[in-house]
Amino acid sequence: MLVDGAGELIVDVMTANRSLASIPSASAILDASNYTFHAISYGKDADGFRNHAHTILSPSSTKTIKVKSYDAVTVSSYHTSSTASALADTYKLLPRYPSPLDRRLELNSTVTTYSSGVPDVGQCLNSVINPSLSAYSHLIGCFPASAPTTYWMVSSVLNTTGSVIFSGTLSSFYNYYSLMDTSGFLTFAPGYAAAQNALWDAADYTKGVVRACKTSFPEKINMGWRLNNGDAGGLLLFGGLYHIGLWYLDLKEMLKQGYYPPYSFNTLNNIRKYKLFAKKTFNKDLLYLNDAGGLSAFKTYFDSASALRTAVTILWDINFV
Amino acid sequence: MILNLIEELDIKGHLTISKVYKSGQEEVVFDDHNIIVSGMGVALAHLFALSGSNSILDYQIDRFQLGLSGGSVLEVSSTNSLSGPLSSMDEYVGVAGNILATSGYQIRNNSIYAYANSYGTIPQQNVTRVDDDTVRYTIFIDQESCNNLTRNGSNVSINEIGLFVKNIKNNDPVAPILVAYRYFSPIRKTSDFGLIFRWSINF
Repeated sequence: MLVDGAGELIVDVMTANRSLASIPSASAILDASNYTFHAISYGKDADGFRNHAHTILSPSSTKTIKVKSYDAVTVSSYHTSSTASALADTYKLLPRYPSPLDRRLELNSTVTTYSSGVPDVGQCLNSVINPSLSAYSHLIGCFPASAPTTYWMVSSVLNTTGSVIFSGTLSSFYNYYSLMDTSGFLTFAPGYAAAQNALWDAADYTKGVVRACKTSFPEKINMGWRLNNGDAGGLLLFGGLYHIGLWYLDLKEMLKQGYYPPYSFNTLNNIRKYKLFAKKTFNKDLLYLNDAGGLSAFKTYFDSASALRTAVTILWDINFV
Repeated sequence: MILNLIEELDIKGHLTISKVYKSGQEEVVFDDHNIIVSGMGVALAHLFALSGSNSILDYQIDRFQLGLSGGSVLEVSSTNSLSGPLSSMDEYVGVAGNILATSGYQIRNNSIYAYANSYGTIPQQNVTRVDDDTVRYTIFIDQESCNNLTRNGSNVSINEIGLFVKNIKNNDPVAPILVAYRYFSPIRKTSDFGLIFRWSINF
């Protein structure tokens, strides 16, 4: 769903002051690259930020992502819906319905169970790269480090070490290639159409989301990006994937704060401010998967050590005609 | 996931045409919606794909055309040009008019139509952000402009108008593209009155 921010961006373009073109220090404001898509983010139901792996399971000091499975112990996947069913008295798994008025993915607070210093941004954070939050990233989420991060699937909250159903490690593609900032914004690959089309043809997502158009008179834009096994596994352990947001640069806010283009992307100290352009909300976890044929689905497809670990390529097309 | 941006954003416009007499009296002669044509989508696709001009000024609606042979059959999204646009800058400017006119090519059917077209220009001060997602374009055809037009020796009337985005391909000369169109009841323009087109587009 396109939200009101999309129309506001177009009006920003239509009403930009033409006289800026003659001011050398300000003309960069008129560069078209400031007015297109710049980030993707992931979200889930607001209460999900206080459930799943966000719940403090002792020992909390191990920096291990720990989550209690409410499925039978013979099931080696993680189903967010099973957690919601088991905790139905206290937890309603209900992602916010999309509205054109939305300015973020979740309107209610998304501060996690461990809340000290955790910003309320309405989406999944990438806390593991934030120096002030990384010590608790196994509670804040929602992505593993680039180096292998241990996870435990347990059957008991009271005895985590003695009730591990399965365990392993997850490694982040986004953090390995420095594609996602601490607020969870996955950047787009830089460059104009020719460079983007070359990345698209090569299926090269190591520079970020690719925005391609394959004709000289494009009538649609293809966007594609990689959700690799480690990042998908992290998102699933922390509550699944129910929202995807598409963002552009909030140029006015950055100018107000004294930042002038070009706006380079930096994962740790990202000066970029974003506004929501569109969002997609799912009523079923996009990462839902089941065991099959005796294989543990989670370990098979998400674990760093699995030979069958896989990546999801997400494609989002926007038609203009 | 597939979105059609024009439909989903529900981009729409509204056009009001008024006659303004020398006494200052204003008479509304037209008040209705307009048609956003496919060129709007093409222009926005070029912008968001970064496949055209690098300057957002080239994606602005900064000019218009008036025409003489419009019709309701043209009020469809596939329309990419006026049926009978004014044929010269002199027709826009008239003998002593204050309207600004310019010329350029035109994009039609996904190609650059490399013949000189005449356009009236919309000054920046006549482009107003009405609210967060609405822009109003005010086009003033003064009493001395577009008067007493003829074709083949016969008097003709203005009956269509289109808005154009400036130059999405950064072409030289500029190649505007039609983004909004409206046919209206014929108006025989004379020096007795000016015309004000107030055109709001909600994005």
